Parts: sequence; structure tokens; C-alpha cells
Amino acid sequence: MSGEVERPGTPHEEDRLLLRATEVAGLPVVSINEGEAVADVKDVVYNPDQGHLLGFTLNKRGFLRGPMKAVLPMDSVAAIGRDAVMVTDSSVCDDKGSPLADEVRTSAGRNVVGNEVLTDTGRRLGTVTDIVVAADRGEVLGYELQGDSKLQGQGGRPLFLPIPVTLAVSGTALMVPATVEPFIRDDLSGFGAAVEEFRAQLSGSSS
Amino acid sequence: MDALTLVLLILAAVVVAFVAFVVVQRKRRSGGVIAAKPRRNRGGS
Amino acid sequence: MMRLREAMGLSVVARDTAETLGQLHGAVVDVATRHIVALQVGKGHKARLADWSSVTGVGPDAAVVDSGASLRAGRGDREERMVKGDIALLGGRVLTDRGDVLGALDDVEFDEESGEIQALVCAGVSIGAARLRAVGGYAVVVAAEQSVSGGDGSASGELGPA
Repeated sequence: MSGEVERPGTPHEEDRLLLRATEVAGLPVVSINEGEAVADVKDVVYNPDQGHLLGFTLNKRGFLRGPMKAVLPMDSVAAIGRDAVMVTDSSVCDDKGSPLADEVRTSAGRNVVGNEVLTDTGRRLGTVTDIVVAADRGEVLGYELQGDSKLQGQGGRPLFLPIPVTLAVSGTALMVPATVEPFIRDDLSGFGAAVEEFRAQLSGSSS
Repeated sequence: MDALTLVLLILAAVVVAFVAFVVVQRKRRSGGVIAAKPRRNRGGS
Repeated sequence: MMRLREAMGLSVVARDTAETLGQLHGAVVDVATRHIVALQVGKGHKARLADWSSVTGVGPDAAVVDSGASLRAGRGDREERMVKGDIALLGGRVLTDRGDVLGALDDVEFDEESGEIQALVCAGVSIGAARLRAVGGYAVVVAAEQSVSGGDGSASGELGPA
């Protein structure tokens, strides 16, 4: 899965840039109108139920400068790319009292990386290493897991698990419905389709 | 102790303090993936 | 049509005295009008700007300014940063408004009479001046190429470097 080669898309393929959240952390936040970097991305904040990005927490730019109080909500983001998160201008990072800031405070920095993933029928699928994001829409496709050794043996390839419907997040573990199991993939090329099918199944069977 | 030893000790202390600062700041800056909207049990899905 | 990189290093000569005022070290761009609005003569502490209106011509062998008196210091934060080198044009990072770096800005094609910018050249590719969005301290921002067949660098199912 060496993702460096750019393939030109064919008209019927969905060309989407997929990024891991850990690849977005650390990118500069650049204003389109000014060409200035206003902050660096610290955390990627997402909604585990609906599977979309809520925004980012920020670090100040510069050698070893600490975190910013201000956060960057997703509606202020113009685009997410391989090399930068783009905003229209630098004023969008100034809002300290936003709903996202409250959200981040109440989730007490609940970092899902390293969390165990359990199905509601009691099976441990693995531990979270990342989330996979469709950069163009800020949509979270799913989790990347280090698979449980019973599933894969030692040194297994990473597993990809579709979102949404994370039943619960405790701070140390994630609970997912067992219905997601058939949609787990071990490479990305089929993952987009698996996510679509999983969601279609969800909306078909529930309201 | 002689002056040289004192100077070296101070230098060492400065280096240690600097390294500690670097380590602390890197930790403060490190980012993760935060799940917002904590959920308790939802009946069924 | 002239290329800025060729013009760099040209002697800047005063038309009234035929004195050499310095060397051409940069250009100030107004993104809104897509024109070069001033030339930077000299570098470092001694750098001065010549507004385009005082430039009588930029030729293959020299840039001519009407008079040494037309040279002025950088005005305002932005010009001062340009003169200091904090805001780079040539060699600056070219970043699309979709967040992807295209490369370094290799050259700028401009009309030597009007100062109008025709195109930017980056990684061997010509970028129409209409796509220029900003010239700033971090990057030169350009609008991404809207492409039907995915030629803007996205690939289906591919992640960035693992």
C-alpha cells in the first residue's frame, strides 16, 4: 500500500484524497488570502457517531511554542490537503469561545489512538492507530486499527473499520456494533466501497 | 571546588534544563485524534 | 514577455544621470491587479523600491528608472517584509488553495511594458496569472487546477505517506 504514486482517475472512479488524521496533525494552517501560516494543527477532532470532522485544535507556530487557546472549527476550513490546511484568512483562528472549544474541553482530550476496539458481541478487534479522512469533504471514513493478534497473527497489516456508529467511547475503549465486522478491510482500495455498503445497510435497516 | 568544575556544572545544569524544556514543549504540542460528543449506551443501532 | 529570473541581477540605471543605482533583486507584486508594482533595487539594509510608474523600461541588459530620486524605502509592514526577504517571490513555496504544495516558484512571466503578470512557472508547469491568490511569508497561494480527470494530484484510495 505505497500511496505515493498518483494515478489519473477514470471518469467513473471516485477520486478522493484520503489522509490519515496523524498525517494532518502537524500541518500548517495557511490563509488563502494572505499566504501566511497562522498556526499548526495539533489535534484532529471528529464526531464518532456521524463520522465527520468537527475541526482542529492548534499549536502556535515557531520553535517549541505551546498550544493555542483558539480552535479551528470545520466550517472555517476551506480545504485539507497533503501539505496544509487552508483557511480563507487568519481571522478564523481567533474565536476562543466557540462550540468546538467547549466540546474539546468536555471531552477532556479523549485521544482515541491506542484505544481498544470491542464489538458489542464481545470481540476485540484491535487498537486504534488512526482515522482515515476523505480530505475533500472532511468526512471520516473509518478507523485504522492494529488488528488483534487472534484475528491476524503477529505483524499483520493494518485493518480498516468503517464509521459511523461508534456506540460508545469511554476514553480507553471504543464500542462498535458487531454488524460492522463483515465490512472490515485490510487495504484501502476496497475500503471506500465497504464504507458505502456499510452505510447503505445502516440506513436501510434503521431510521 | 575550582572555578572550572563550577563552570562545567553550571553548563551541565543549563543543558539539562534546556533538554527538559524541549521534551515538555514537544509533549504539549503533540496532537492526537479526539472523539468529541461522548456517548453512553445507545440502545441498538 | 520577460522572465523575472532573467531580469534578476540586472543593473538598475538612472535615466537622468546614467548612474547605476544598484542591482535588481526582486519585485513587489499586487495580487489584486496581478501586476508588478515595484522593483527592488539592492538588497539588505540598502534595498530600495522603484515604483513601476518610475520605471522607464526593463530591457535585456538593464532596468532603467527615471531618476535616483524615485527610489524609496519600503512602506508599511508588507513591503518591509518583502525587502527583508521574509516574503519571497522567486523560490517561494507554491501552495494551492486545496492545500497541496506544487513546488518552488521558478519564474514569473511578465509584460515588461505594463508590468502585468502573465504566468507563474513552477515545477516545469505554467500557472496562469488568474490563479494567483496571495504572495505571503509562508507561501505563494494559487488556485488549484480544476481538472475533470483527477489530474490535480488526488488518487482514489491512496493515502499520503504512511
